[in-house]
Amino acid sequence: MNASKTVVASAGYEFSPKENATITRTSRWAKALAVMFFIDLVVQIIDLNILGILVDLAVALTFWRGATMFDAVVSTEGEDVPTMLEALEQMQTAFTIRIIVTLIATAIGLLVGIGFFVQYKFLHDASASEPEVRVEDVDAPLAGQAAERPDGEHDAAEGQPAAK
Amino acid sequence: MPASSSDRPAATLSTGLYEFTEAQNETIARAGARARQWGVLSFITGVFALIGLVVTLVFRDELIAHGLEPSYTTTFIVALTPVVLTHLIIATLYAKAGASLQAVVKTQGNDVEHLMRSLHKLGTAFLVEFAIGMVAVCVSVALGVQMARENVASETERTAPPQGQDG
Repeated sequence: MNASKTVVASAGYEFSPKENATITRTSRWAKALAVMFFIDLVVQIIDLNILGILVDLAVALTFWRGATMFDAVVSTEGEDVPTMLEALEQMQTAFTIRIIVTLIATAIGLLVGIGFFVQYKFLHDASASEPEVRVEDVDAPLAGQAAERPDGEHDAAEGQPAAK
Repeated sequence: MPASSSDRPAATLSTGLYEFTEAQNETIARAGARARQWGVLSFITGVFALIGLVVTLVFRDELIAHGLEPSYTTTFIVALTPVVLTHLIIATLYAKAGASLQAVVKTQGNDVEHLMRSLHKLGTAFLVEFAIGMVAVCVSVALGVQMARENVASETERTAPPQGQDG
């Protein structure tokens, strides 16, 4: 109730031509960004990436709606402030979607990146240093088992604790 | 209600004097907070991506020596470079745009000017994102086509009978 009263009360403010120029510029690049997300959407559709499709579609649409609202601020009269606030709400929605998606993507990216790095850097290094394990120090039955493994590899992690 | 003042410096983006109401301030503050959060998150993401890029560049030869396809490292580098550039550049712009929007709420007498400054910075951030994003999309498509060709070539090589190659 209160909010609608204040919107009506402020509806009379008209942005000046100079202010309209700034709004138009923001609208133009918000639309360009929306188009970029629509292009990326096509790429996601080709890749059949469902999550990417949903995210790109949501962000592109909110940016496009926000840009349209900015345009409406310039083109209409008598409703500049409420329309501007609607445009800002659209931008807020777009930012919120991007924040959530980026947080999830960063977490996944970090996990995958660290896992990938550890796998290629340390696990491969560990297997490269395997010949240094002295099989003769290991108890005879375990050493026999290790020697009889079909792939011919010796597992240092299995062998060492058993030697105690 | 709204008043116009012509005694403002030319560098300002607005000549209007207007105070937003409480309800309007709430909407503006929320949008400002989100823009700021997005700016901070962009910076963090940019730093993580930069670390990933540096690690890949430093250990590239080692990763390839351990059996990673060279095209994968190239793809990773090509994919991360625009992410690093975009996020580190737009982080400041979005954070400043958010700060300007929040200044609309906190200050009095300059609401429209702060709003215009915020919109100007948002516009610049959108422009930067669009420009780098378009370059990234073009490079990604080119790289995708190149990788698809390589895959087809390697698939053909695999299906063809071996001709005295020693593994």
